[in-house]
Parts: sequence; structure tokens; C-alpha cells
Amino acid sequence: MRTTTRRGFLGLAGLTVLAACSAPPGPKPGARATAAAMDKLAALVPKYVPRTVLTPDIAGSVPGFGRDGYLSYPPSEKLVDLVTTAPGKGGSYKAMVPTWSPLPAPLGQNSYYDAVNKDLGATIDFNYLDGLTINDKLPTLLAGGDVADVTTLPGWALAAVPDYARAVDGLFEDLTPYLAGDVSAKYPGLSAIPTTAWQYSVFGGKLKAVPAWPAPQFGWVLFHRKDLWEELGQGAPKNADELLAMGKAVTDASKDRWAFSDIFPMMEEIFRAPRKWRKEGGTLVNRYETPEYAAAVEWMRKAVDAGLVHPNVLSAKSAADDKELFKSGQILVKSDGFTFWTETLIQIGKEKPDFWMEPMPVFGADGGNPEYRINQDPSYTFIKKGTPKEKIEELLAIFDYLSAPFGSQEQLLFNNGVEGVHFTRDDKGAPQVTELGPKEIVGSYVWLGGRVDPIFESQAHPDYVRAATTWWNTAVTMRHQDPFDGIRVEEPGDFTAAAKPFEDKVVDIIRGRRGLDTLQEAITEWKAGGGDAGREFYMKVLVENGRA
Amino acid sequence: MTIPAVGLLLVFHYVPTLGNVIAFQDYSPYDGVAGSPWVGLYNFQWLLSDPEFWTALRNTVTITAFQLVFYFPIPIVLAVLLDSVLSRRLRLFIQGVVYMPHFFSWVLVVALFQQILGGAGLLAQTLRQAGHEPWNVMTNPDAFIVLVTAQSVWKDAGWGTIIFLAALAAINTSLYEAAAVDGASRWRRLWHITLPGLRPVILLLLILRLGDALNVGFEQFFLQRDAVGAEAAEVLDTFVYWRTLMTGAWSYGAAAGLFKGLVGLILIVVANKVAHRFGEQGIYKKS
Repeated sequence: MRTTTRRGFLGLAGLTVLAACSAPPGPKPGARATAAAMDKLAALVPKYVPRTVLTPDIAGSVPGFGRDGYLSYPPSEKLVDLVTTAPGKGGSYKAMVPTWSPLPAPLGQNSYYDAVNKDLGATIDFNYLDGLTINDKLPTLLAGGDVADVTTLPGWALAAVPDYARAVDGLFEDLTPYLAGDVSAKYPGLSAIPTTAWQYSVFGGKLKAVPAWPAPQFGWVLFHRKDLWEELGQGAPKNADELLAMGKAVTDASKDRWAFSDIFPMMEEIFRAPRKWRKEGGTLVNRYETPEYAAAVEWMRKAVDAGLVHPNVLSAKSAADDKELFKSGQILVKSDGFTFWTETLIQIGKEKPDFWMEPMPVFGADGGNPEYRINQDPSYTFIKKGTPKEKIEELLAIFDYLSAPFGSQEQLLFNNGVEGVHFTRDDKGAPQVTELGPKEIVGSYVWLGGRVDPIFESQAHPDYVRAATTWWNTAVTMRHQDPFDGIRVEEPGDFTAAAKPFEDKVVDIIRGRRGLDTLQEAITEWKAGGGDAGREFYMKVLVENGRA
Repeated sequence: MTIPAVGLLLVFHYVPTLGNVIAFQDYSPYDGVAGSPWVGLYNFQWLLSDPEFWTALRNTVTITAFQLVFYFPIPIVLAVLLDSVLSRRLRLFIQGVVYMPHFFSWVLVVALFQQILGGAGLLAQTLRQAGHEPWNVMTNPDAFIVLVTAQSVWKDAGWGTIIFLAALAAINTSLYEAAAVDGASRWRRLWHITLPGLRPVILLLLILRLGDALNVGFEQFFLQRDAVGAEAAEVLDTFVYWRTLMTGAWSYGAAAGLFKGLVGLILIVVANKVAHRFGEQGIYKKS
């Protein structure tokens, strides 16, 4: 009785206030919007002076997008010693980088840090930002302003922070005076980083960061357990219907085996929905409004209805570690980043030599081509504002050292550690991690400085390099062309806010809590709740950049 | 002696409270409080006209009310039961077991429930093997309130017994002896001695809980939001998270937080008044 009265009362009170109070004029509270084009930035960034150290076995397909491959690891005597004098001057720096791995032994108890720091001639003390919660923590971290001497952030994580351009402006040093123009004599490593990545590192007309991971990356890759997939008699799907049929054939709940994880974002790409907007008849059509998006929603709903998605993924996505479910064979198809491939092969390969995963062969929903989304914005390494000039120069020299590419002795050291301690070479010369290796080495120095890495991890699996280069060099030819490529857009806060209620409804539809026919209604609500305002904003950006 | 505690309160509670002024500003952390423009009640007007806010408020209040009935009494019952265990070692063992889940993170608790009740969990697989349709409680929006309450009970009911156990220890044992001599049964003793002895503590905690009525936690709901949909699982804390923290509407979030605090304050004051009217102590003694 008590319950009903309390609820009833509050509900009533709510209704009255709601009726008395309509929304005030003016924009919804939220972040302000800006946009900056890359086209005019040539003068602010270092001149591109490529440097090659070795010739690859397999050449990349599309310049700037494809990747070279090395079928075997070059022997030590072929590795080039690129940096002969230590870049550091004995300075000591704290650096924060993201990680998706368990934390390594700290500085002082970590011989990998000691070895690299000694070669650098400086002490870098790493702090790790948990990559899984980076989107949750970054807004408060940047708003709080308490940053380390060096901070590295993935581009996609930074772009998700409201008002990030202002944060970058207020917190980090302007590197333009140090790096603009031809600096190849002083920083040959930094000068070899592709121009696009540098241009993305310009914020508000100032070069603010050294790009890390400057090569374009696939946001998602659709992996499948090819070993189990073939064991169950399935081949390569040629369209979305075939994938669904194959999913049905392999799913057997009583054997703890489900076909899919949550692969909806990947299905959007297979159905060729645009990343955000599509130019059509002089206006912009949002991803949500396209028939391709609706078709992907419908496909995913069918997969859920047929019981093809692992129940743990449906009941608590973040508590259900789908990577582990994939490795144990409870999930056969899942989307993840490209590096998930080598990580898993290296981890599992030793225990299970028959384990084999690879991306689903490239296919589009209707049997045509997919449109894979490629992220061209790199990660950014920032230097804290207020760092003295000589310290900035020391750090840039260190970043230059850490930009040494594959095929150099420096890269072998900061990527793999010390031979005999962290890795040994197998009979084919490929580095194999020792037991100590993973305990001390997680991606740390590799975040400072930028390299375009070839595919070279032949130690992961004998077939890996060939399979990976083949897939990559095919997939990049089917990349999605975004009308906003090369324009960094900070969208209005209420446009961002409108996406969440809409996507909540889409989740409801996919999970079977709402009918497919309610999608149109959800789109109408999204338009009114900020979608149409967002379209106007983006149209203006196109016009201002001469692309309308 | 109290200086460290006062210092802690000052630094972590009273000083941050001043930050609430941003609810009346169009605040940007890069401009600071001094540099951000004042906008009066603008954020509150937006808040009260936001349908998502009302969904979140409705869910929060429903869950609180439900838990008041189905969660709040459980630590009391558990404490009385624990208190009646005579063997000290056995009691300490049981206490250890029921306290432990309090220290587990929500991710772990949700994962544990998933292992047992989820669609690939123990229950579902047993049912499948027996040829039945699995019963998936973890993705049923209608059962969500029961699920989250069960999770809370499992996690925190044991921990909640501590204060009641202390109160039970304070009851004069000679009262029980006298009652037993007068021929009072176990139930009579429970009704006339134990429960009246616990009453001030129960009321105190009940009033404090009312003040907390709009806080049902964040992580538990955040983790299971997609499983049952926003309509069932959006609570005020998750609303504030994605609507304000994720979009840079800091002032808007502060307004929602202030609204929560205001409702809590009103509930505490009213409940305390009622307690005083009935001759109870409430949260402080009426002079």
C-alpha cells in the first residue's frame, strides 16, 4: 500500500511540473561545436621525408592504405642501427599511455624499461590508462587538467570528449615552432611520419601532438574461428543471408556454441551504411536514415531471434568477455580490432597449434562489396603545457628515436625487449617471447613516436603474414569514402546527446523488445531531438570546406 | 581528535558541495566557475522538460520503493538469525561468508549471476539438457527489478547486518531472562524485547535511506542497461552519465544532481518530523 501511494504521489507531482514547465528557448545544454579542415595545414607540419630501411617481401596495395609484409624476421646482422647517439639528456618523465593488457612490472622492477631507458639516455616512467574504460574516464581526466609530462591518446577516444579542442589547447604545448617545415636533418624519424597523420595533429591552428600509429586502421574487423567453422562444414559466405544460414548451422546451444557476438557495427559496414553521413541530392542523409542501416538492424534482429548471439553478450556485454568466449570456441564470429588477431595467435598458438582464426573473407550484404570504415586519425602524443624548451627538445629527440621503423635495431629493442631475456629467436629467426616477456612488456614506448608498421609477426603463426597481408590489401580497396574525410568536426553536444536515446531504441529493436516497424518512429524522434539540427551544422561544415 | 574526520568532511564533502553553483551556469571546465556565464534556472527548466529524465526518475523511484519493502528488512532478519546462533565460531564463519560479497565489484557480481542465471549459464544449460526451453531472467525487462534487488541482497545484505548486530548486543540480556521466567515464548520475546530494542536503529536507517532514495547505484545498472533496455534500466545516475558527462553538459548534470539532493533533503526532514511526532528519536533527539 505504502509503495503505491509513494509512487502515485511522485508520479502525479512529476506530471504537474512537466505540464507547467516547457522547454526554454535556446539550445539544449551541452558542448559547443567547431570544425577544422586539414586542407590548409601544410605549412604547420614537418615536411615528409620517407626513409626505407629494408625491402619488404610483399608490397602493400593502395599507397597510404595498404601494408607491406615480411614473411620472415630479418636476422640481427641485417637490422640497421639508425640512432647512434642517445637522444636523451638524462631527463626523467612520466608518460601516460592507454593499454588493453594486464599491467606490467613497475619501473625499478622491470628490466625491459631499464634496457630501453638506458638506450634512450632518459627515464620514462609509464602510467597506464585502462583502454576499456577510456571513453568513460577521459572527459573527467581532461576536464580535471591533471595530466602527465607526456600523454598519448587514441584519436577516437579524444574525439569522444566534449570540447576536446579546448582541452588540448589548454593542457598541451604547441609544437609548431619545433617541427614545422623541413626538420629531417634533426628529426629523421619524425619526418618519415606521413603528412595526413601530422595534419590531424593540428588543433586550432597549432601543431599540438606527435602522431602515434599514423597508418590508417580498420575500426572493426569481422573475425571468425576458421578452424571450427570449417570443421562444422562451413565455407566463406557470399552475402548476408548466407552468413545467417551458416550461423544457424553452427549454433548449438546445448554444446555451448553460438555463432555470433554483437557484430552489429560490422554488419552496418557489410550492408554499406555510411559512417555518419551520405551526400545525396544536395543534402546529407544520416546513417540512421539509410535503408542500409535499417537492413542491418533487421538482419541483426533475425540473428537474435534465431538464438545465434551468445546469451552472455545479450545479458551484460561488458561483464561477458567475448574475447575469451571466442578463444574458447563458445563464439565463432566476433568483431574486434585488427591487432586482436596476432595477440590471440601468440597467446593461444603455443597451447593449441591447431587454433586458427582469420577475418571473414570480404563480402557485401547483397553479394557485392562491403564498405569498410577506416580511421585515418592517428593517436596523439602530447607534451604537457609549461614544459621548458630544452625538455621539449629532449622529448622530441626521444620520440624521434622511437619512430625508428621495422628493420632497425632500435625498433627490435623497444618493441620486443632484450634478446635472450624477453625473447629468443626460433629456428626461422622470428622472435618468440620468453615467459618474462609479457610480464614486463606491454605496448608502452611504441605509443611515443610513430611508425607505419608492416605486417611482420611471422612468429604468431606460419600462415599469419600471408593471410594478413592478403586480407588487408584487399579490404582497403573496399574502404568507405566519407564526405568528411580530413575534416575534424567537433559536433554540437545536443546532436551527440540525441544519438543515445535513438541507439537505445535500436538495441531494443535488435533484442526483440520493440518491433522492427518502430524504427521509423525512432528516426522521427531523433530528427526532432537534435538530428536535424546536426544535419544543418554538418551541411555548413561541408559548405565552408567547399565540398557541398 | 575529530580534526582528521572534520578535515576529511571539509575537503571531500563540503568544499565540493560549493561546486554545485555550476548548476546555475553554462559551465565549461576550461573557463572555470569564474569565467562561465550565469544562466539562472535554465538547466533546471531543460531538466524538467526532458522525457528521458522522467523515465529515469520513475525507474529510480520504483526501484527504491521496491527495495524498501524487499531489501531493507532482510539485514534485520539476518541479524536476528545470526544473533541466535549460539556457537561463536559458527557465527563468525557465517558472518564472514555473508560479508564477503560486499567487497566484490559489480562486474563480478553481474558475471556471477550471469554464470548461474544467464542464457548460457548453469540453469539454462541444465534446462536445455533436460529438454526444456531455457528461462532467461537476465534479459527480461519485467523481471529486472527483482533481478537487481536479488543482486543487491546477495551483495550487501550481510554487510547491512553489522549495525543491527551491534544494536542487538546492546539489549540488556536480563530482560530476556526475566521474560523467560515469566513464561514468554521465543516469539513473544522477539516481539516485545528484540524488536523494540532495535526500533531506534531501524528508524534511523530508514530515514537515512529515504534521504538516499534517488541513489540506487550506477554500475549495476550501467552494466545491465542494454540487456533489458533503457526503458527499464535507466536510473538517474546512468541518465546523468550519458546525457551530461558524455556530451559535456556539466551544468546540466549538476542540475540533475542538485535536484536529487533536494528531494533527498525534503524526504529526510519530513520523515524525521513524522518520527518525532510518534515520539521516536529520529536522526537526532528533539530538545
